[in-house]
Amino acid sequence: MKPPARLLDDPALAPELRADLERTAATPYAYDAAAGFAALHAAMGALQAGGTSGTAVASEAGAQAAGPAASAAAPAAGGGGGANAAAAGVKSASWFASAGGKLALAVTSAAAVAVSVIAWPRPTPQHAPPRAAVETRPSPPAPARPAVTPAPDRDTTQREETAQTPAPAGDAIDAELARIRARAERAGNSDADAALRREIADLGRIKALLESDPEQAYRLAQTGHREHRRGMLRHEREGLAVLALWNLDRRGEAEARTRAFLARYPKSPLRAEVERRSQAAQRRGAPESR
Amino acid sequence: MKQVGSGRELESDGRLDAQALFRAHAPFVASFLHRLGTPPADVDDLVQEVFLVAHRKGGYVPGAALPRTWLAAIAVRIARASHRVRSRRSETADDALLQLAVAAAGPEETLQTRRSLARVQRALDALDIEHRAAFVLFEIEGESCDSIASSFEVPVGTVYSRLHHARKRFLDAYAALAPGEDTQAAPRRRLAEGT
Repeated sequence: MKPPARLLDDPALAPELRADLERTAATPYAYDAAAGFAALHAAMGALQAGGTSGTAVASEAGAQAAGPAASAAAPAAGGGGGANAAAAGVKSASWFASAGGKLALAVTSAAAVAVSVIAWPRPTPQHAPPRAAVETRPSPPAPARPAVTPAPDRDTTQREETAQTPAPAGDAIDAELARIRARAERAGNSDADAALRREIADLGRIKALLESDPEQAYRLAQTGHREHRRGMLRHEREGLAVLALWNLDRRGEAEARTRAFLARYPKSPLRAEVERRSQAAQRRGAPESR
Repeated sequence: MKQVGSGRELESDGRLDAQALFRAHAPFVASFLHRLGTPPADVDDLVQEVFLVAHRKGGYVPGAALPRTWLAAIAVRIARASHRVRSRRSETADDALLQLAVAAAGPEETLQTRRSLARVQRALDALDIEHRAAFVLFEIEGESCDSIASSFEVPVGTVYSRLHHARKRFLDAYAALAPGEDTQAAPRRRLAEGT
């Protein structure tokens, strides 16, 4: 059988398509390899130290065993099947936990979660890499300001809507943290709440380090993105990461992340602060130093 | 047993451990996962999973499959599982485009690149994951059919067949894009339409 020729080798290929494919092939995805390597190193160290069965392998094995049309909630059949079902279940459980127990997902993935509970006694995926690194962090500092009056409990959509409420730029971060913290305080003691509390605590650390040690703040924000992979506070964490980049004078990255942040979270309470830093740097025509 | 960070990442028999693989191929894996349709918010996590699987498998062993296609096969399995259980489909192609801002060159070149990537990505969206993987590896990454077949543990004829169908679907989808269309607006339209 004759191997096919690549489209790019076809002289009859439309010029526009050729150009599109060439540009695609030549443009790498913007991946932070340094941060990824650090996370991988930590995760591999944790695996070696723990000597536990890796979810990643089971997940991959499960994915391999399951066909494309297989249900994520397929019942376990023997040990291998258990890994298979657990692979789907772990992800569902992880998302379920971080979503604060939203019932909508529970309906669709309840079977998978149930199977994973049986086949997978540890609810936290072991491949969440940065946990080991997080253990070395300093204890969480108290928030810089006392919590503001808690807003009524509301879902994410409502939070986005109320985010339009104008607030002094300097208070935006604290106000947002306080509001999230207040929401968690009213929550119960489920795993989902524990995950949210951890995420909030991490956010507090990032905020506390923003001015004194922006490099560490940025590193924690990046780690947090990976650790809280289904977390609810990615938006807030990303805002702090952008501010840390401005504080680090990493102008190119800061500008790019600022554009992305403002486009993705146009109603963010951190918008004013992010814009202020960006505009200040532009006015000066040089990296902003704080 | 080799220790993490020991620096002994390349064994005498040519095996590559996960860290060596990561150093050499992490950007490729990230690009590949993204082109498979993984939302940018999930790419970092899935890259980690790919290399952890590689680590648990004992690293790459030289054979008919090359390291990149070997990693790609792992990535496809993980991405497939991730797609199956993912509930948050709200990540948009705009996110992916915004990622490119990091690597921006001149404004005109950046704009052209963004549009090209958006068009290709939208056409790739018409493919299922097996066809998409074969197309991306062969047409965009330039991998050989033999290596793809070995990595995915399928006959090379299956790869040819997948490529044939993938090309047809890709070209049909590409042709359906309006010429010169502002492809940055299209994903937003899709979002607004709830698709």
